[in-house]
Order: sequence, then C-alpha cells, then structure tokens
Amino acid sequence: MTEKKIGNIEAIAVVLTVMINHIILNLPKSIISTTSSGSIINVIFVTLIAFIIVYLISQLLKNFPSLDILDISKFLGGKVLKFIIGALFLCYLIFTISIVLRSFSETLKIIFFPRTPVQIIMLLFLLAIVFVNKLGFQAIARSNLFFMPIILFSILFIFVANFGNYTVQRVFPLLGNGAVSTFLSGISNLFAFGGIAYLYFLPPHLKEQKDYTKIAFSAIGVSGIFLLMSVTTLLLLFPLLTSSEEILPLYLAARFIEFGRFFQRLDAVFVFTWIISMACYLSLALYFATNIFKKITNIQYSKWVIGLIASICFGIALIPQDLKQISFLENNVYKFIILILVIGVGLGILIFANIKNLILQKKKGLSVLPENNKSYERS
Amino acid sequence: MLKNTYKYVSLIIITIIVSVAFTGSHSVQSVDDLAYAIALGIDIAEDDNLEVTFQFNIPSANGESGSGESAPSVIDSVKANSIDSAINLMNAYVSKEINLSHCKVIVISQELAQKGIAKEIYSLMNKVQIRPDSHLVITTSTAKKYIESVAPSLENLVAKFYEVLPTSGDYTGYTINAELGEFFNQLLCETCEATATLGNIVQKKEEENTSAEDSSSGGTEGQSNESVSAKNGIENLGVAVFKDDKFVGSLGTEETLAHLLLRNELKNCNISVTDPEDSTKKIDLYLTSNHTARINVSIVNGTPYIKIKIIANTRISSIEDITKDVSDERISKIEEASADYLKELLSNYCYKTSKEYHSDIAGFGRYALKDFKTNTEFEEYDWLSHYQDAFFEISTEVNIKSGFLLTGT
Repeated sequence: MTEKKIGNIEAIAVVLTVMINHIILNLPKSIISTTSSGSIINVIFVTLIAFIIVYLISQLLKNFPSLDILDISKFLGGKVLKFIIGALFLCYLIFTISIVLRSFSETLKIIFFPRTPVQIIMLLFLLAIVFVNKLGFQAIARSNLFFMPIILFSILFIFVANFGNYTVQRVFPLLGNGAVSTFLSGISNLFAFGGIAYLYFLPPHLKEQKDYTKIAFSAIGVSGIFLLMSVTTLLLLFPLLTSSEEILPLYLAARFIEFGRFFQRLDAVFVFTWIISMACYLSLALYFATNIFKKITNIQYSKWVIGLIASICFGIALIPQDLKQISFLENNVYKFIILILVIGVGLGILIFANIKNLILQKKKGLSVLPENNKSYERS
Repeated sequence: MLKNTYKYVSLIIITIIVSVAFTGSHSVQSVDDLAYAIALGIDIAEDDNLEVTFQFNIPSANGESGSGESAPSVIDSVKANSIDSAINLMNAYVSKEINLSHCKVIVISQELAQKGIAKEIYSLMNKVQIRPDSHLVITTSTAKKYIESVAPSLENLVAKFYEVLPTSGDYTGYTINAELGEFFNQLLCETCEATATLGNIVQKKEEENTSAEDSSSGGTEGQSNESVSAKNGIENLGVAVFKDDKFVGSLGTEETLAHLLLRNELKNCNISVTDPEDSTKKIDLYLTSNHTARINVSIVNGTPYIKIKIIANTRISSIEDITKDVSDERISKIEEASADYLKELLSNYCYKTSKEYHSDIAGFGRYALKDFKTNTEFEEYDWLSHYQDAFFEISTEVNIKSGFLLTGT
C-alpha cells in the first residue's frame, strides 16, 4: 500500500508544504530580522539561487533515474556512506518534526488553549500523523494536495486583505542593511527553501520520472512567490522591530484584517486551516523519516517504526525549556542544518556520484546504472 | 491475536489522551460564566499605582434590548500596580471571570499619558484576548469619569456605541479612529510618532453653572468655535499627540482635518471657508479626498525639507446665491479661497507638530527613507529628533465639481 507512486501535482504539493508551513511558523520573521527592508530583494535573490540549485540537482539526478540520495550514496561510497547520509537526513527530519511540533503546539497553547498542557496538544498531533502514516504515502500526498489550495489561499488572502494597512515606503532603503547584508550574508536565507531536502527523496515515488525537473521548478517557483508575499505582508504592515519580534507573525497580520464592522476576527479560520496544514507537513516528514530508517537498517519488521520515530520526536520536542530556545533552534540551528546538510552535503554527494559514474563509464565503456536501479527496488 | 491486542492498546491510549485533553474543559467556564469587559479605563492613582476601571455589559439584559431601554452596564474600578494585577484583583472581586475579548475601547487619562504609557500598551498588546482593533482614547478628564459619563442617546448597547463613535471621523474629519494595534506599531516606528483619539466629557448646562470641576474638559486647544450640546455625555474630538510614549499635546478639530488629509485617511467632510466676495459670510464645501497627498521629503544640509501638495475635490454644500448662475470667476475665487484655507490649515498643523510638539505624527519620515542607502544610515540620522528642524513647502489645489441637488454651477 505504501509503495504506490504519486503524480506530478501531488509531488509539487509535497515539496511546497515544507516551505509553506515554515512560512506559517516564522520563516518571514527570520528573513526580515536578517535583511530588514532589503528582504524583498533578498527573497528574489535567494529564489534565483534556489532555482540554480534545483537545476543542478535535476541535472545531476538525470544520470540516476528513480534513485534517491541514499541509493546514490551507496553507489558512491558503499553501505557505510549510505548509512551516514541516511542517519544525517534522519536526524534532520526528526529534529524538524520535533521543533515544528513543539513550536506550533506552543503557539496554539498561547492563542487557543492556555489551560491545556502543551504535551497534550503535541500528543494529539502525533496521534493524527501516526494514524495518517499507517495509511501510506499516497494517502498523505493526496490529503496534502487536497488542503494545499486552501492553505495557499489563506496566505494570499492575508496579503491582499491587508492592502489598506500597508505603508509602502517601508520597502526603502531597498538594500536594507547594505549590499553585503542583502546579497552576501543574506544568502543564508536560502535555508527558506528547505523543501529541497525532499527533492532528494522524491524520484522513487514519482510516476513520471521525466517530469522531475518540471516538478522541482514548479515547487520552488510557487514557494518563492508565497515567500515573497508573506515577507512583503510583514514588512509593509509592521515596523521592523515588531516584524522580527512576534510569534506566528502571519497570525498577527491576520488579526489586522477587517472589512468594515461586520467582517472581523478572521484569524480563527486561518489558524484552523494552518493546524491541518501542519498535520500534513508533519505526516510527510514522519513518512520520509520512517522510510530512511527502514532503508538504512534494512529491517524486515517495520510496523512499529512509525510509532517509534514519533515517540523519539515527542521526546526531543520536550527538551527545549522555553520559546526562546525553540526560536533559537528554529532560526539558527535549522538554518545551518539546511545550508550544510541539504545544500552542501546533498549537492556534494550528487556531484561526486556523477564524477564516479563518469569515470566508471569511461573505464568500462558502459553505464553501471541499470544494476543500481535494480538494487534500489525494495524487498 | 497480536493484531487485536494492538488495536485494544491503541484504543486505550487514544481514549486516555482524548479524555485528559478534554478534562481541562470541565474547569473552563462557559460564556455565561464570563464577565465581558467592553471598556477599560486606566488612570493614575496614588504612589504611581494604576486605577483600572472596567465596564461590563450585563449579558441577560442584552436580549431585552428590543424594549427600547438602554442595556445596563456595571462599572467597577480597582487600584493596583499594573493592569494584570488589576485584572487579578477584579477577578477576585466579581463573581465571574473577566474576559477582554470584547473590549471595544481602552481609555487612558491624559495625566497618565503624560508620564508615558509604553508599559501599559505592551501589556495590553501581549494579551491574546485584546484585539488590535480596540479603540484607544486619551481623555482630558479621568478615564473613570469618561466611562461613567458615557450615556448613548441613540444606542441601546454601550458596546455598539463604543464601536461606532470613533468611526465618525470618516465623515466628519473631526477625529481619528485610533486603534491599539496601530498605536503599538507607531510606538515602535522609526519614521513616525503615535497618535490616539482625544476624548472629553461633555458638560451638561446645569452642571456648567454649578460646578467648576474639570474646567479643562469639554474643549481642546486649536478647536473651532463650534460647540456641542448633546446627551451622549462624551465627545471624541481631536487628536492626542505623543512623543515616544508620552502625551505632549492635542490637536483641535481643524488640525485633525489636516492630519487626516496628510495621512490620506480623510474620506469626506464639510469645511467652511470665508466668502471671497463678502468676508462676513461663510461658504460650506463638501470635501472629498479623491487624490492622495503628494509628499516629497529631501534632506538638505542635514535638515528635512518637506514638500506637500494636496489636491482636493469639493462640492458646494451651502452658498447664499446657489440658485442663480455662478460665474466661472466666482467659482475660481472660491476655489482659491478654499485652497488658501487648506494651505493655512496644513501649515499650522505642520509647524505645530514640528516646532511645538517635535512629533512627526503625520509620518513624513517614511517618505525620507528613499534618501538613505541603508537602514543603518537612517538610524544614525535619527529622523524623529530631526523632525523639529523641518521646513515645509505646501501647495494646495481645490476643484469645485458642482453643488448637490441645487447645482447652480
């Protein structure tokens, strides 16, 4: 049931959900705190770089059709490298699930459930995502696709409905804290495109392998547009100091929406859609974490793996003592994990694997890939 | 066998988690058990403490509002060292738990505002229950007296009255609709200063003769020579001007009109200009601000130089000779007189806020942002402290479109 493949639109939604949920959490806030009024230019700049990276990934993966980064690691450095890369990505996913789960649950507690222990909110989320994971990848991808338009609309609506509250001049100075800050140190905002991590694991799940480039470009393009929208909303709506100090800034932006005296307090609707969105994202992350764990351990009996990883995530999510620590993990640690592991290590593996493939081809005069393709097929 | 065990264990776990999750809801009070404060008044008490006044609606009375009688409300006040302590203390006193999610207005006394209200505003904005669209009023009397004086004559519900009253600026130009969220943003803004609605108690005639108390209330400086005799008990006219978080002065109704024009927040209003052909007579014009104010700020020798151009469209509301043909020459004379009137109004406003209050409440600073290459440069320039040195070049243009039903033009 879990091995069924997904279509192009579902695949785009899978990559998109990573970015959209981080936008809902506090991605725009993090970008604005780095580049202030230069954030709009910075987002455009990092989106262009993300396109280049995605182009590179899709070109490098062309020589390894239907293989994910773990299979390519095995091809490059054997089982040891596969295990190391798998463990690194597994740690990344567990860390992401834990932090996102805790951060969003804390926010929900502040806004709606001040008397409910945060552990209960987290457990309810975990119950939902473990249950969805039992239904398989296709079910997760489809439900994610079903809710994606609603979630995208909520961000678009916040952007449009706040038009009257914008101070357009806040885009100046265009370069924010200077050209160096916007273009050089601002390049670290590339972490916003954390969805790239999922691009490494998508190939085996795609119905149409030839559309991989199209899927990757569409996902990054849409992500870039919505990131630009949310950053613009916050930048033009709040003074810089406020934009970088709030929790769940898009929620606060939603609180400012009003159409006359009869159409107010829409924020509850937004939070409701974002709860669903967050559950979809966590389900996907848990699926990929489980999948990686199964692949690197080659375990036969994998029924309890979903629950096991969910329990680990729950435990890790309880470690941060307060919102300050969560914010540090979200904005700093998460940022460097994406930059080093997802962009640095991920691309490095693909480049070296291609070089090895080229050398082997030249030596043997034929490609070694068909065999590897077979070896990928799961038992 | 194992499958069944797994199912049962899962069911038990889910049941435990869900029941624990909802156990909390038994202790949460329902709507009937909550006391909804519709207004919050904050005054300064002895020893720098706060006197916080709560106005509660009585929910059961609201259902009977169709009877035509005003729904009663309860006003209680408590002295404490912070808003949160006051809420706590009041919670111990009233039989229901206080909920601020329907708080329509926050009234702060001028006396407290003069000492700085950043702490109070931060405290309010930090509460999930308080909405950013709650109205913020600075009253020349005490906040408690302001709330006690509210006696809506055309509304049964006080909450509705609080909701509608501040929006009158949309069609009068006499007041601004200051909201808590906006005020908070202005406090943190590097290109503008904060403003709030200015509230007064309307003195009843019999009281005016017998009581000299609160002689300062009922009017503000710079106000036109119009007066109100109404039963509402309060009036919201003018703007409370802040420098940082401190109240530094107020603007009268005419200056409020200039403020709204410059912030492009004026929808429409009536203005009276002196008839250019007979200085003893007035012409009433209905002003619509279809054009946005064109503002250009440049930094000349380190000093802000602010160019303002306002184009306004008007319709003649009342003129003595509206029924006979009004010549083009007369129209252009009225246009010129109106433009001069607006220019003077804007000039007074700009120099008052700059030289007297040192407070850029119009937010001219945002137009200066483009003159700086980086935020650091702008921060180092410190716009808000340079605003007092600003020079203004104001030009106005008024186009009279027609009259209303009796055009004559």
